[in-house]
Amino acid sequence: MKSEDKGFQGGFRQSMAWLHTWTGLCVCWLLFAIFLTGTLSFYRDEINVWMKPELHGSQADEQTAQRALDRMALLAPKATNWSIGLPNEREPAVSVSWREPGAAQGRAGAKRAMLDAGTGEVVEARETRGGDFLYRFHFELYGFDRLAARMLVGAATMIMLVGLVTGVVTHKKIFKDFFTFRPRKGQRSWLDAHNATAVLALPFHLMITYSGLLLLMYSLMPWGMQAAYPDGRDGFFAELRGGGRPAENAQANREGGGREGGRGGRREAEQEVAVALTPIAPLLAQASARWGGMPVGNINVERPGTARAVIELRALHGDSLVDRGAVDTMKFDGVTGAPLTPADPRTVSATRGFYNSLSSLHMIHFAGPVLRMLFFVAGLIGTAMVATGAVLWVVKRAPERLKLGHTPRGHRLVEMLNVAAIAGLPLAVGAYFWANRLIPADMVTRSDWEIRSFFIVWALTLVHAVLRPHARAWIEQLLLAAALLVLAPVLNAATSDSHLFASLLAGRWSLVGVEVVQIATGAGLGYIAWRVARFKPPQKASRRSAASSSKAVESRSRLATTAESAS
Amino acid sequence: MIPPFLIALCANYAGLVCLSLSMDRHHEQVLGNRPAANWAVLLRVGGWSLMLVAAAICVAHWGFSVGFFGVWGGALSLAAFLYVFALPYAPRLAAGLAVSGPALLVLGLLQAAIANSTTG
Repeated sequence: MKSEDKGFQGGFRQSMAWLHTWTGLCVCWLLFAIFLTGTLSFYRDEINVWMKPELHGSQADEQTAQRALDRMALLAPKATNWSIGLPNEREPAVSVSWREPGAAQGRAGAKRAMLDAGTGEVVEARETRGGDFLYRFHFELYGFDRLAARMLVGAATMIMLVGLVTGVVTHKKIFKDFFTFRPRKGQRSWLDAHNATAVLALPFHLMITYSGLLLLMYSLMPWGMQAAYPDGRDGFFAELRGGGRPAENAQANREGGGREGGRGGRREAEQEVAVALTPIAPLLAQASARWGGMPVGNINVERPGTARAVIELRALHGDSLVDRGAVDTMKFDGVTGAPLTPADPRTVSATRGFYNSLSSLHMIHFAGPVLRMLFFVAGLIGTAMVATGAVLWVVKRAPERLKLGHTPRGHRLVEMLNVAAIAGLPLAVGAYFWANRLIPADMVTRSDWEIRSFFIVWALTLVHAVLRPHARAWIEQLLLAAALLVLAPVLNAATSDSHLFASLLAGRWSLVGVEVVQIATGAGLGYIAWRVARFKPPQKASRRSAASSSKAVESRSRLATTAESAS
Repeated sequence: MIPPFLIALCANYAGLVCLSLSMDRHHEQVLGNRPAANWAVLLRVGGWSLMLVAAAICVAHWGFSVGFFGVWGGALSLAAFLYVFALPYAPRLAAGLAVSGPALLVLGLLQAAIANSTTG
């Protein structure tokens, strides 16, 4: 009985291990790319700022909000609505958008500009997709049909979830080996590292994978929604939102542009005499005090310059997971500054709350700097987990290759893809940063060329991996990636008015953070390159030992190999 | 002012070190011998308590959803990652850093007491 149980256990575990190995192998390169670009997306705003050096000098002070409003009165005196994103610890400049009377609905109708927080002047920043490109790439890839790409990413995510579950089942001593890492032991070390990176951040991995699937849910399985709602997705989402939530309306105003201000308000605005807005500082202080010190992130003004102007303030971020980053808002009369009746409290159903919790965990709408840093670290651990898994596949088959005396074509393919994915992608990201500074700031379609540089370099890493011997390919690509990343802050200093020490002194932590992480990542990649260069592959070692040792040892080792392969 | 996150991180780290030392393999790795049975129990209880205290700090400071799932869980992963990958290279140093946990907890308590006495 007991042995039967054991047999089943072994069989089950083995089949799970098989599933883990082969499904994992199929998607590991795509998963590595999703994990790495997704992890970088946690600092999307910071990367955006780094890639727009024209904004680096922007320094906010108490007058910034007033200055921005004054500037808007000059820039867009006739607009039906202004939206002003105030600077915060992640973004130094003021981003403004407005809608001229009669502008098209949706994003297309909005005009945008960046203002220097210290002077209120319009800043012409270079055209770049910045961190948004990496963010988009992590769930829509690039150049594919959007739905097809989401399907592909969704399938990979599903396999990731399968990989996590089968991995836990396969991992025999999950508690006993919890703290175990044994370096310099070849395959054993890679397995330990793969296990440790998976187990130690397992809650994060499960959360980010499962919530990622939920976020793709409406794209992957739209049928229920289509069947139940005659007008398809739009009707579904309208009912989901309930239509009446103030934050959502404000969001729609910001994204799609004032429904109320868009048409009706325009005609009246033209007739009305210009009326100045109330000073903004007391309103900001009131709102922030009401929200327990949470700063104001956004100022929306409906019908600015008229007697019926309304100012809506939105908090920088929410403080709960359940309502998906819905933030507190306060409305004021734009002329007198009197608070208007408070909005209804936010209510969220349990199902919606569950979806919201997981999706806002994934996108960390609410996160302060500490949590963002933790998510970033956990994301890096996840990236390392995928990478160690891919390398483990190759390392584990070293005895097989040793026995065969050559590398089978399939193994070689995996080796090449591993190099191009794991060393090649960081190299391509480094090249993307460099392209951002080397492509002239005023060039037409420069943002497309930045993205092209990224993909050209990434494709070249695959060519390089095909042409070079395995170990050399690793070392060369890792070293180049390390150089690009470590020198990126130097490039910044050479091509812009800011540099790391200036950012440090001025307390521009978003820039300091980006450059410190660039240097640290570069140093880490350089260290790995050095370790790979120092590593002596087992083939050579055993050949050397066989040559120098006696016949007896040789036959014993041959026995051991056959025993190993038999078991 | 000690950042509460640092206190939680170090308390989690200390908790994990205690838990690992309650296991034969790691006690031997760090101290060269196996733990006595009652000592191992003590380490286990101490380890869990330290992590609970860290959780309490996080929940008190960030609220339940963000504090417990986000900051505490994240700090636990980070602490475990640092410890596991330092342990084989410098076992005594890696385990010794656990002292920072209780030390920061005491400092944090003192700080809170002083803040209370000056305001109240």
